[in-house]
Amino acid sequence: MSDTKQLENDSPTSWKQMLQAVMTHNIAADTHLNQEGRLVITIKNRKPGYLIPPISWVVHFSPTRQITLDKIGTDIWKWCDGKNTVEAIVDNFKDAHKLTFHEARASVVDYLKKLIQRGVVAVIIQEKT
Amino acid sequence: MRQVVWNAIEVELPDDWELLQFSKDASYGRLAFADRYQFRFELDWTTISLPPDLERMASDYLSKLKEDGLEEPRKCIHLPWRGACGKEKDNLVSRYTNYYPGRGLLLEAIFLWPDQKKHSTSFEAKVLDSIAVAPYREDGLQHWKAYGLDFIVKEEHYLKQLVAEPGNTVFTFRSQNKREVETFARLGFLDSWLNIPVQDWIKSRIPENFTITSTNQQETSGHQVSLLSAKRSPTVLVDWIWGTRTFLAAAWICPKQEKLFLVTKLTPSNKKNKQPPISLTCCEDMEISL
Repeated sequence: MSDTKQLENDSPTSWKQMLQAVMTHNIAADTHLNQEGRLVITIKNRKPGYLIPPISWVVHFSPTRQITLDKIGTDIWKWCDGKNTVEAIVDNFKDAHKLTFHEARASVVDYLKKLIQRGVVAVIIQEKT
Repeated sequence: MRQVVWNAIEVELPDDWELLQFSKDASYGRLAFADRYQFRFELDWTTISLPPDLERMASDYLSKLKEDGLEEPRKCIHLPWRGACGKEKDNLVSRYTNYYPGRGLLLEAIFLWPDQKKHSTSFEAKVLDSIAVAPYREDGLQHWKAYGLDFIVKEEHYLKQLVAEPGNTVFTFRSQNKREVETFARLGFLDSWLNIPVQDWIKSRIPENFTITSTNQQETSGHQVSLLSAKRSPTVLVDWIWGTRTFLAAAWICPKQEKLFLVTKLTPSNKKNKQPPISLTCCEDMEISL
């Protein structure tokens, strides 16, 4: 048996469609720089339907949550401006860190997945032509 | 075009085709390369003891592909390479095989042509012509070139581990008796984690129970190289049987690539000066041997 490894776990036939997606900020989020110069993003939480009295008397609900990004995350977040495609963000990241395209792609896509899960950015998928 | 050398197999591919999948096994495995959007080329190898009848293999293969539903099947020949071409799903696929008796390696080169890319037989010929299998060297060393690393290692040592992550590549080779180990690394994102000088960081690479015997700094072609040697202390029983071992390491930041390069070698002390040196190259005129 060959011992095959790869740069990433998922290996689709083509990742072109994913690269053509456009990334945009969550417009409902507020941002500011903290004392260390890091970007802090404040996102509004949706109140769960079950949080009604008497449950809400004992279960605390925080109306917002904050996410602090490191320098790499701040750069990626800035590039998610509603105009840049994932491919453009990967190119920017590649040039900034002197990586190959696929090294940058693996890093950026991994980071974007986390930002999407946390509601910091959203993805606009282009229809396949 | 950029050269990749893996397991003595040499190939030249376009600069933007990157190695995304690999096999460590020297006797059976594959390399897969992709452009920005999809996989474009695959190189498979297997060791066989007797030369195959390539023409018959190609015919049998073509028949099998027809049975499997390959569309527009036809023979492809670029001597000494023989194979079959046809359409599979959205891709035009060309498969060529050739045998290299020196190492008993049967190679298969597979080109994937997505719909929008025009099939180029001249390009395939150029790549096939670049494929070679390096003969065994008299000094017992082997050349590897991949993932931004270009190095020479002992032929008899096998690739134990390869970490290929964004900005972080580490090849680890080991002897069959596990007493000799070599590593070759190229590390990026230095701003994020390298907050001490390289001559201090290199000390973190010393294996457990080894103590430093010497450190040194040298400048080579504009690169500040930190060198270190260490010895196991105290000596353990296995060292009495097999001999004590010495750890040698060299690390530097390549100003052109802005990456940290590291080469280390764990070798029996009594063989230290008798063995041919392994080496690592980061850019032109910069090669460090241990």
